[in-house]
Amino acid sequence: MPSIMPRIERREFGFGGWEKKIEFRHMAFRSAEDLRMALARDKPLYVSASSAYYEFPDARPMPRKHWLGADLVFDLDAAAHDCAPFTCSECLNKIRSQMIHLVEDFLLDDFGLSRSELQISFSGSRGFHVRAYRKELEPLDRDGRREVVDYIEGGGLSFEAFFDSNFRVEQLELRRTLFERLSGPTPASAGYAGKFARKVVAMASEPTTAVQISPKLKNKERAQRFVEGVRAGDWSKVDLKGERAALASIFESLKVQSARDLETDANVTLDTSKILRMPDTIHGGSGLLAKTIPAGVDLGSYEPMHQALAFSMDKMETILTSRTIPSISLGGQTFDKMETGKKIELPAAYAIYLVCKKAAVPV
Amino acid sequence: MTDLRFASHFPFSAEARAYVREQKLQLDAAALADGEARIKEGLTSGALKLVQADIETAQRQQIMAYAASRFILSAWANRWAHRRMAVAESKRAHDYLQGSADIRAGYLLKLAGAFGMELVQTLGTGDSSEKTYSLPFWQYLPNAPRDVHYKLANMPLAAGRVTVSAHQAMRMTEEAVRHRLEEPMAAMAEMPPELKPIIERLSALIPKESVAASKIEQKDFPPCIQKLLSDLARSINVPHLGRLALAVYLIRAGLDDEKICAIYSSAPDYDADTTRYQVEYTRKKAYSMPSCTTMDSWGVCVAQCRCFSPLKFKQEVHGKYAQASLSQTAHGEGAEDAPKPAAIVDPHAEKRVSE
Repeated sequence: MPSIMPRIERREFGFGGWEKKIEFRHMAFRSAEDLRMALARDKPLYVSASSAYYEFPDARPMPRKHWLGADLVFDLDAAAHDCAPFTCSECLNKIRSQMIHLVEDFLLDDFGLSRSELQISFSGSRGFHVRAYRKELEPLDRDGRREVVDYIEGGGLSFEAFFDSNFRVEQLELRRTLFERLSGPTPASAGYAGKFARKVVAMASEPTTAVQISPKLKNKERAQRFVEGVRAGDWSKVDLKGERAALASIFESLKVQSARDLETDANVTLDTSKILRMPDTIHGGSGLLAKTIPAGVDLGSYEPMHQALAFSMDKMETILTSRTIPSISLGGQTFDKMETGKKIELPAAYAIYLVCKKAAVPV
Repeated sequence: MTDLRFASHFPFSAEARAYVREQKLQLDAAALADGEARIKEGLTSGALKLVQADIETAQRQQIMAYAASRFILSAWANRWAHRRMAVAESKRAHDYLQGSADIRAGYLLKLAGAFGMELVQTLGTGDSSEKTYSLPFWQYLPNAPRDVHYKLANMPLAAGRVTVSAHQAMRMTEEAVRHRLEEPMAAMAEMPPELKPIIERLSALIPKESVAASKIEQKDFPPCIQKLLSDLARSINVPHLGRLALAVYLIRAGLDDEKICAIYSSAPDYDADTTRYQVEYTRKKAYSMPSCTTMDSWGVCVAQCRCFSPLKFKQEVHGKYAQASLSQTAHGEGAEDAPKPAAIVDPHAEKRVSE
């Protein structure tokens, strides 16, 4: 029984079947028990729930529901790949490392959330959903949520503004001479400031890239001195002349990198009127479970294709394939490639997976 | 014991309200006259002068003048006046916060706290602007002005806390005050008779409708531009970036500076000189139109029209129809048999659209 979503009675639900992922929505349940009974009765292939809380979750149109707030949710989906409609391990690995990047580097480190406030679940197909449950985040409006998404995707980064809020020019007097000291972030700093410092240190430590910052850093000792300075937050150990321009161009590449590193479906985060697969329910397009990753489990070693099964690997079912099926690993086993029109007995979990993918029909 | 200086500098605070209640102060004729003068000053100049007298009678007068001004505004129920006063009052609060005496008294922390921002001092000791503060990002976001310098991505964010300068903290407090004061006030069932002449006098201060917008064929504007225009027309405070986007769009759409300035004149913080300067500057710089993605990250995108740039909206939405109307106008022909051409067409903008 899905028990993990808080405040079931304030959420909007939707059920879907063979034809559509959401056939009915604007449904509400007074309790988890009511929802359980409805699921047992209707046996929907898809169950979606709102991230938003409403005073009247079943009212329509939307404004009549009276929005009370919403969880902060992120939807990560593997980019289009020729493995579709199946999901190859390469795609899953890639999207899993994006999810780890989102959780560890952003949500835990920068946004200061704790692992216990996050619900991380497999989407049931090609990605992950991350939900942050924290009272203070619920009132955030669309603009606030947009800022969060822009932050994790590096959108709207501006060197001028970044420089102003993270760097500081200090006047120092040493032996009766005035010096300008440029103090800034260190590689240990949080947020983009730290990412930026780490990138600059990495570049300055490598002779081929150090000159991109400044021709002065061609000299190894000087580059070393510069790096030591940055590590201590002093960016003017070596007077680079025109360093601002050089730093600005490094910053630009950091921006591009950030956008590539993490691409969430921003709309899911921004538009809290959407409903999203309920954790720990079946995904009707795969027969897999949109399983929540338990808090103690190492995210990097989580293998949804093996650990998010809803059906048995011991019970056997017979199917007839309706297309070519590549070799797929599921439930701890690897299955060979199959041609169209093959009648075969397979473990139930895999047989159902193929039927849900519309790659086979039950016999 | 009420901190009277705090209450008089920030007369919208709970502290000031409590003082009025405790002292059983009444809105008498003198208070109403002060309230009227306050509104008059705010509406005409867009700002309110600071009073630096720490004498109880003067402080009490400030509090009562504010209370009376709110009473009058509530009876008047004029959106433009309501919003313009919210801007003037919040600026006044900001100006007080910047004063050294207020900084020493810790008023910034106190006032910000009253508006849900728990600032913690993180650096610096002097009472200058060297100080920095941190606050949780969920308190930061609702109060940060929509400006690239406040964009979360450009701010130091660690363990859920954003570090801001003293200047930024004051600016955000001003925003919070403005938001609060802009909230609609309870409507009065019946206007008290003593307010009638006051409101009549104040009504004369409302700028006459001079907006050239009626000449513009607005139906072809994308939803974001429509929204910006209607917000301005209703005296809703449009963020700086929204105003910039609108100016770029209107310049590209072929409006002259005078018409564009007229559109901004209903903004609650309207200042003729600043507006003219900004519009001329925008034209001189020949900014390109922000893309839809940029518009969204500026918080001014309101619909998913999938047209990539507000300038392309017409083509995306009206398709051939729009091109037909454009080519008609491009030849300088009358629009008699053309299906309603746009009234404002810039040849360059056209090219862009029909490409």
